[in-house]
Amino acid sequence: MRAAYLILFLILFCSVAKAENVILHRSYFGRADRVDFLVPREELRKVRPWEPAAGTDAPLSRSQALEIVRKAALAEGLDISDDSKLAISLTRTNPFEEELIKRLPPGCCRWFYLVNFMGEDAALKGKFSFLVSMSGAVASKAVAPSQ
Amino acid sequence: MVAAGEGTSHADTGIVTGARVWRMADGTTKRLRFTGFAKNEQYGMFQSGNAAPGGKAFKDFATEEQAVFAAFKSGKLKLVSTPGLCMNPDFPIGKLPGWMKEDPHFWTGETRTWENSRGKRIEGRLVCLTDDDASLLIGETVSRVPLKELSEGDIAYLQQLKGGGKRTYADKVNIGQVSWDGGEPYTVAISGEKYAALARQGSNFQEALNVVLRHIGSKRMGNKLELESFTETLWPPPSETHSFDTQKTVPQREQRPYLYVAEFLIQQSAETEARLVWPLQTTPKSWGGPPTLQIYVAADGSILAAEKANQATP
Repeated sequence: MRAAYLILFLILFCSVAKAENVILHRSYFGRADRVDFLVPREELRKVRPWEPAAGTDAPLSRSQALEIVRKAALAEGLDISDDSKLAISLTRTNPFEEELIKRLPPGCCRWFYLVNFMGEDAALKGKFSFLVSMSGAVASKAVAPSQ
Repeated sequence: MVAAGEGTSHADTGIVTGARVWRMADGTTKRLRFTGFAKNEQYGMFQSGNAAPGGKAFKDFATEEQAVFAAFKSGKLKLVSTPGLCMNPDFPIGKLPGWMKEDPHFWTGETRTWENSRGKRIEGRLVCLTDDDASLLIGETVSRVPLKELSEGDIAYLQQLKGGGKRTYADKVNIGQVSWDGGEPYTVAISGEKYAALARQGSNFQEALNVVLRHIGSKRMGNKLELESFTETLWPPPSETHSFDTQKTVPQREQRPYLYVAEFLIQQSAETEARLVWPLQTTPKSWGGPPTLQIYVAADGSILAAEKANQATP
């Protein structure tokens, strides 16, 4: 009976752990707000640790990442068909954000794609920034006052 | 067919620049460019020098020119509409002014070998075309060559250019002025021809990244530079203005190439050396944040050098 409880507890624990999000990236917009980009912890374990090196392709290509972002944007009703308004960055968790790095799974891939909107359209301005993990997951965003 | 002016050997195409020596009713001649009809049909719009076109009465022109205006009216004769082609009747000859060299807004034909009727060859680019002559940029000097002195091949090229079969390019396209806070402003530039070639190429993210990483790896302090981000954007469009042409004939929507910027964090021990190698692209000593270096790459994998921004404007 105790064993059954333990198993149940483990199952519950695991499902909670599965849903746990970690902050992969934090960006600051001016002084007022900061945006945290969260991905499920397990997403970071899905791909091998990767560091940029000549001749070693990223686990997810720029085109795959852009395709994922376009779908995510469309789901939010945003039109980002115009490439001239996008900036696509391959970047990593800011090495100076030590607190964030401590909470990431050890040895995980800290690189990701960030797609930012550069245009002036009122509908998209400020709103548009998508993060895609190397496993292809789109991060959820949490806006918080930076101070 | 109507003759469009002195020295015009190819008016039979029906496409002319309208820029030439015009004969006036009082027996004088004027170097003007006909740019179209005014609202009042008795007048035409004419450009002289760098000024905006102004109205002139057709009756002030010689009788033989009246037939030319009639041909324009009937559509037998058409004005060149090649985007970016300069047709200033008074384009300056001689050494290109310094400010113009720095001006990203000036457009030319492609670099090609020109041959005069005596067989002499020279490499240059067309900077201005009239119905009488072609102004060629050779090195940094502009020479005006009468069309009748050019070879058949050159005339065929000019015909293509007038008919839209060939295009013009911005002399230089730059990314605009960049500077690190407290650092010297700089820009990164490519020729208009390279811009057009890159635009056809499309995105090349991973290969451009490999080029940057190899480039940094080849430097002595390469292992002290750590990639922070690698960003792809489209290059800004070439300017829509044209210094020597008041007509807005520059392409409205030029196809744009991808541009890549890599940012590297520099370890303290490599800071001084990085500043020596990349004086403009490295954060200055006064920079408050972590020392950083920016490297620019084109989609064809060429590393682009930063140049001091020229702040002098005409």
